[in-house]
Amino acid sequence: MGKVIVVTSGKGGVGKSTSTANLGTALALLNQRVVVVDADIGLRNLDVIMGLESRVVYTSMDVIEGTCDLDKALVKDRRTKDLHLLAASQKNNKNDIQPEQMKKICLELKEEYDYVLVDSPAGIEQGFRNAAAGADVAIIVTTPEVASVRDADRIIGLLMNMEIDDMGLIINRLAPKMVESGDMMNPDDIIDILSINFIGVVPEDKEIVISTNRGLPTTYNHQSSAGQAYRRIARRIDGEDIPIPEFKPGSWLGNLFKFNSFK
Amino acid sequence: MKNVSHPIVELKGFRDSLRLIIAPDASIEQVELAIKKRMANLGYSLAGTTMNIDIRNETLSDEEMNRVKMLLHETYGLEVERLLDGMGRENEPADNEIHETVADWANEPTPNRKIRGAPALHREENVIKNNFLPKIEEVRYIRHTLRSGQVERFLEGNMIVLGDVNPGAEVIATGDIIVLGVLRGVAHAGALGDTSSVIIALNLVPTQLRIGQFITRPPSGRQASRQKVEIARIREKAIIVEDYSGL
Repeated sequence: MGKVIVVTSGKGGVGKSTSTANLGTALALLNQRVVVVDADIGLRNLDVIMGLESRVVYTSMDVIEGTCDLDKALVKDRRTKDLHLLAASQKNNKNDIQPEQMKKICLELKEEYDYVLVDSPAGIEQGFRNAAAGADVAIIVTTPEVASVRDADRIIGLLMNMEIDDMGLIINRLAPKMVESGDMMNPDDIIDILSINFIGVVPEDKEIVISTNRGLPTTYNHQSSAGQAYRRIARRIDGEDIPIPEFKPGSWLGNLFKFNSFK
Repeated sequence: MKNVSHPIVELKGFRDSLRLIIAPDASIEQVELAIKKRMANLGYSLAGTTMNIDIRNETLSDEEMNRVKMLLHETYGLEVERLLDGMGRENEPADNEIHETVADWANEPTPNRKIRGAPALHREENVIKNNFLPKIEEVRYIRHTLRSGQVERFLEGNMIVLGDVNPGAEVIATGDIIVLGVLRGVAHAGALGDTSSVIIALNLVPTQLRIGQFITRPPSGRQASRQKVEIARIREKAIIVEDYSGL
């Protein structure tokens, strides 16, 4: 029996889909059987980011309506063994799906796969509720911005009400130089406010833009600092106890010798 | 109760809602004026609160009652939910509410709790307590962190939060507010106008503080982590914040 992980944030544009695609890929590279689910019904991002757009035939809506079997609706990513995508329908909107239906899909998927990563839409309405319906674990993505942290806090409150208590925090797009100069929120302050299990920092990296446009997750790129961060986070999700490096300005990798253990 | 002159309107807190009691013989003009007067001294945190109106008054017509409702809703943002009959059980005068509390505890073995219907003794108890505390009120405990978007209202007394109050969260009490954690959001003590109320936090870095009708915000550049207990209270018509060293 696998785990269903919802990737969510409240605020839009903080990197939910990018994180889902990269963590999904990184987990698959760790020889886990992975399926990523796009729960942003009405919009479609995840297939584009993963470069699978041209191969999508069926969507989760087709599965719910009974047009096709769940197995058949999954798109296989040929670059990595055991990585699959369940795309979102663009013809429908978020209210066409009920949390129960989403939950059923997740339950069915986790029978077969080690990790089911659900990419949540922004917001706190039904789209989010659908995405979180079947989740065992939540990953909260936030950027070091006040508004983003505020929304993450709101989402954490809502998840707690839904009795999803197992949560991990990813701080995305951290610019160590700006933290140093006091222009960006310090990760410690964010962790202080949100007070949930901290699972990693992804540094700001131009590679993300390039890879997103190309449809090739950054995780494949061993030169990219963001890709490396995602691979480390995936290992932590998979239960490995590896330290979270403290990112320092002047080093694209972060200063790997100064470890900061939060666990 | 004898013919003591009643206030025209009386505002009371009950759990997280408000109760407006209108004197039996008041005219609509008197009532409206009294409401405006009473509300003028209140903070701004009450918008959205549910209000029950207790009408002992029989002079007001339905139309006039609607005027009162409109005034409360449109000017003060209160959600007028139901009109209670003055004779109703739910709105006995305050004395009886105290008795109700005693009654609820009556099945506990403490001998003191069994004195239901002995107001004299009860009052004595109050007097003794008064030596230690400025006021006798209920306390609501919140045993978790309040996150963005969460609002806790307690309009019957004091509030203690065992956790943080995060940015975007709000705590409102008619008495004191004590946060055993970091207060980063908005706190409103003395929400019904009691300016002797205080706000205490282990780490006081709020978005905004309100006591009664007074509002303040921290000076910009206030350190995110204070590492000391501070108290906010009214001194000469302004909220001041200082190190806590007892009341």
